[in-house]
Amino acid sequence: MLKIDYKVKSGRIIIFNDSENKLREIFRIRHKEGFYLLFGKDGSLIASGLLKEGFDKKLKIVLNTLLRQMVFSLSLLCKEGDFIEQYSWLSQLQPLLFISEKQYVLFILFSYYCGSCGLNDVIEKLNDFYLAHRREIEIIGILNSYYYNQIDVDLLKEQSQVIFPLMLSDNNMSSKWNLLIADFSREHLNCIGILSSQEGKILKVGYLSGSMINDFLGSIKNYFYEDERVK
Amino acid sequence: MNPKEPIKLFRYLLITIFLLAFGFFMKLEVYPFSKAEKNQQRKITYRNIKLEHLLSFPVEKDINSGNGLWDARYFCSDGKGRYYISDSRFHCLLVYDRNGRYLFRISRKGNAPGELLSPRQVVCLKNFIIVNDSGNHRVSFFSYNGEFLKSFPLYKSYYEMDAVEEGKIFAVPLFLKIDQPLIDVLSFDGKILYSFGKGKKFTNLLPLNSIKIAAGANKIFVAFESLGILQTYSENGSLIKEQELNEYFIREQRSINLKRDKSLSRSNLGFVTIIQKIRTFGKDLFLLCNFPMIQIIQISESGDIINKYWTKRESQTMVTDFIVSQSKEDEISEISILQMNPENQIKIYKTIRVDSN
Repeated sequence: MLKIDYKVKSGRIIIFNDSENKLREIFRIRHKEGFYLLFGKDGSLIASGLLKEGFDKKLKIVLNTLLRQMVFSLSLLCKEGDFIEQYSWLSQLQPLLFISEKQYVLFILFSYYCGSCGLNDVIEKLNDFYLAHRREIEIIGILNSYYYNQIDVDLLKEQSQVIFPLMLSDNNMSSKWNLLIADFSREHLNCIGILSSQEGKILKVGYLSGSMINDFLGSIKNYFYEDERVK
Repeated sequence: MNPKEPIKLFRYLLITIFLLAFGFFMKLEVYPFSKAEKNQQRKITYRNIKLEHLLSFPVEKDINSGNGLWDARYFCSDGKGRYYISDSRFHCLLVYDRNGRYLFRISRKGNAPGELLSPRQVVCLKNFIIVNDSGNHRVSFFSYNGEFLKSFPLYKSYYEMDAVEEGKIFAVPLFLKIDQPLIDVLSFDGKILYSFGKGKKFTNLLPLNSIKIAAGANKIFVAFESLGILQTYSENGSLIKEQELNEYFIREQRSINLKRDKSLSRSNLGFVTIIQKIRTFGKDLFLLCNFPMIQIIQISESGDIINKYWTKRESQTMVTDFIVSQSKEDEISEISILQMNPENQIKIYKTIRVDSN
């Protein structure tokens, strides 16, 4: 598990270490006329603010967030090219592949499900995509059962007018999911798409939030195009 | 002597007389545009009632022991004298008694069931308190002794909320599209029962379509906070009437906002909030305005202003919420106002002087 150790020294250099000492980032801080300036390793300005009481706490938060962003990678979840059966925490998805009977299955992990937090456009686009390609692909949204129960899922489904199925994660998936949320944040683990073939091969893992959904759906369309060409 | 000099002198004299006359008339405010407004101001059909400050809380002792308010914007009262205030520092509800003494807290920061994150509106109903838990995107229910009862999740973010005993929550989502309804009606189980209300077309859709709502007396009142326009809907969502408030200060601020809307850019001065909060009491509607003085305008069922309760506004003062209480004689006897700036506190006022016309 990732553990970050850090020191904000009154001097100049701040060193971050993770528990395995693999990560070592050096930031420089400069004090001038009641202000502080925080620079990255490459000399770029990362943050600045007033040198008033408690500024070091704010700095720690900024640095912590930065470091978490540097460390988090989708490969922590699963790797493209692997099979779903290789990951015990994804065991819930295995039977769904057989039930769907479609060429591809797109699983979407939602650690929170809120339209005003940027999901509105995503859901609309996924609805359209599902309508257009429901013969080739099954889309299944999975909500973290730590935060939601079945009644919540039914309510949210009605409120968001989503047309593809939504379901709850099982304990197996939630435990892994929550470990990662504790290490990083809910934002890092929200709206992640896992595209799988019917055989369970993980074809693509990526974010579906914001503009990234266009790339993701575009690459799925490429698979359809390739299939047609082969035929 | 140059023959042109008397003409020059005469010109200077004329200009000086003109400037003096202009200044004089301006001082007297007898220029033609003010006449109509002054006449309108004279047609006062309501009572001006001054508010006298009774007490403020939290007191120094409570603040020092960490039970002060911080970025508190919403509160409600159980009708027995207890105040329930949503607090953004500890992400909980702070409970104070009628004399301003701190009693206890309800809930704490977090995202587990029964915990709150950035709570906003608090609605006190007969048997429970409803909290708009905006950080967790859900609505939570608590009993009056602080026990967590239930919650349901929200897909949309609602920035304004009110509820009635009959099991309906009226919630205002962020206004982003012109064809989007203004208000969603949710059941106490979280199901969207129906939506209603139509926004107005402006360059800046969001700020000028920001509304405050109040539900009561089988009606839903909607106030466009930057326009000073009131709408009354029936409980099933059909528009009964719309009225533009015609007070001088409201018209002035409305015209400022409309001018700013036409000047296109979102990055300019922003919009003035004319109406800070609305609440119903009995059959009447009450509006809280922050400028030019702190005033609560009481509007009757027919849409006429009956009373204006006012108190002086000090520089930088900003108020966000209020509660009215009635005496035995059906008169408003006390008004509690939640002040954001300069100090976050609740001020209780009593009505003292009536200038009837």
